[in-house]
Amino acid sequence: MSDETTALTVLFTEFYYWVMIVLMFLIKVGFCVYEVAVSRYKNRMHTLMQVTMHIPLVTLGFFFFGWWIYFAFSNGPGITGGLISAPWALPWSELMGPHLGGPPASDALTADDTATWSRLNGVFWGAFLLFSWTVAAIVSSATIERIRSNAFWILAVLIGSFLWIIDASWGWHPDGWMVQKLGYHDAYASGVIHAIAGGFSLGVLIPLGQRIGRFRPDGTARDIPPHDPWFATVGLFIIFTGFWGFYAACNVPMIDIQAGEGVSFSSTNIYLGPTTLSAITFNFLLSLTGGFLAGYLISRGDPFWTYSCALAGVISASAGNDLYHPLQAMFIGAAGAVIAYKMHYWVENRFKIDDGVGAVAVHGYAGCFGVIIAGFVLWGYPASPNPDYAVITPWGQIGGAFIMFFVLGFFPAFIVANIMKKFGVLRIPEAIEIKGMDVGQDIAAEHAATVIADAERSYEAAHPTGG
Amino acid sequence: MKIESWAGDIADIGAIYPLGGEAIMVVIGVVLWIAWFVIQARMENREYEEEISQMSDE
Repeated sequence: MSDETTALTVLFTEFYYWVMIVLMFLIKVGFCVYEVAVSRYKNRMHTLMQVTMHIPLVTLGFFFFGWWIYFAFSNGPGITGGLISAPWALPWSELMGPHLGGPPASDALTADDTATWSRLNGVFWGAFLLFSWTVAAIVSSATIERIRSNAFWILAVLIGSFLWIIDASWGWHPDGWMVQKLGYHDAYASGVIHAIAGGFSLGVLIPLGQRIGRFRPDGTARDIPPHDPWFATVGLFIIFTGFWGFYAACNVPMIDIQAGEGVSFSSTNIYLGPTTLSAITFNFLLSLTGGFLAGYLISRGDPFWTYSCALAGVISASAGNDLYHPLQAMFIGAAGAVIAYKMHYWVENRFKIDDGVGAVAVHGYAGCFGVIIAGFVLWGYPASPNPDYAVITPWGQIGGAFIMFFVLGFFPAFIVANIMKKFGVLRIPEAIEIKGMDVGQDIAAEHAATVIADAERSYEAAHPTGG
Repeated sequence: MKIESWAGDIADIGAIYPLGGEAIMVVIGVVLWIAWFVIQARMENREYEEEISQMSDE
């Protein structure tokens, strides 16, 4: 980097994404606290490991092929159009490691590739990886207390390292085919993260089945309360905090957006369309507000659902939060929260779906609503700075929501989870489910406590005057 | 290829890790990644069998 403007832009961008990765880490912390608190005491440690160990497993998948998919699969529609060359994202590329940007050692790369990607590849990869963890954690929360760890981790890799990054390549890339052809707009991932995660969760929940005792013989649902309701809400609060990083990581912080002559630096959304950090600060907070207010009323002050509805509020407004007025974001957030809450209970009662935390509703239904409502509110807006691409329309967004929820979410999950069920590797044995997934650890802990108590008594007997 | 000195033109420096063998490391990494799933699945099955057996002994 020989000139100061380029150096400032690149080094600021590198630092910006690095900080966002740290902030997004809080989403994982929040999920760990939340899921452990929501699960019953007898399942707490297995739940913790379930939501923890997909981190390294999804990370490896995303290093080996996920990052390359993002660049390679943008042509379409669907799987047509051929692959795009992205040598900087291949796992054996020298740019998938520490690099100062000098001439490439490999013929597969150009000097432009190394100059562009040497300082940005790692932080971009990391930011997208944190989105991958999020999408997998959403599925984890829906399936708690009865899925086998191994089955969940395979499903986590399927969505976290493979399926979601296909949808990002199609609809969350400046040149993705959904952006070009459908005018798909989803600035903060109502569809590309949340709708796909909700659809995928539903596709797993149907073959997985309900937890034992979740429904009465007459078909009405029994509540399974969190073992620690206070910590469940703390976990959600921590997720809100991490969401700031999630939002900011969806932006490009500093780039020349002036077409043709002249220079004008701004932040942009992921499609390189202009927006500002102020815009998303307004809209994040107002959509959170709408969700909180509506959630409190509709759930009659239930803490768990009030917090969940706040999250649904943000998710509902996320597709257009780069461009909405803050009060539009608030109204959309409130409507999305009501839809998520009502849909959760309707689906639960109608289809006997046991979603441990309402993840399908908060992420899936609110996410789809968010994508679709953006098509109406932003109808006619450019989806991209490229004037040749389609503009935002309701039908483009409805098609996009269908692709996210069903094509890349529900259907693949339903097929793979049914195959796992057929081989008996999807669900834990009934006896374990009844006694609790931590039964082995609890028996061992009880035994250890007895042994140490015996040892203490023996010591006391041998040293009667001791202490 | 290793970095032996930071002297000279920094703009000529590319990769700063000990270059070479990336493709082999990727292959080994993928094999170990898949193997981890297989080993863990066996561990999990054994764990459930042992726990069920412990419960029936009690």
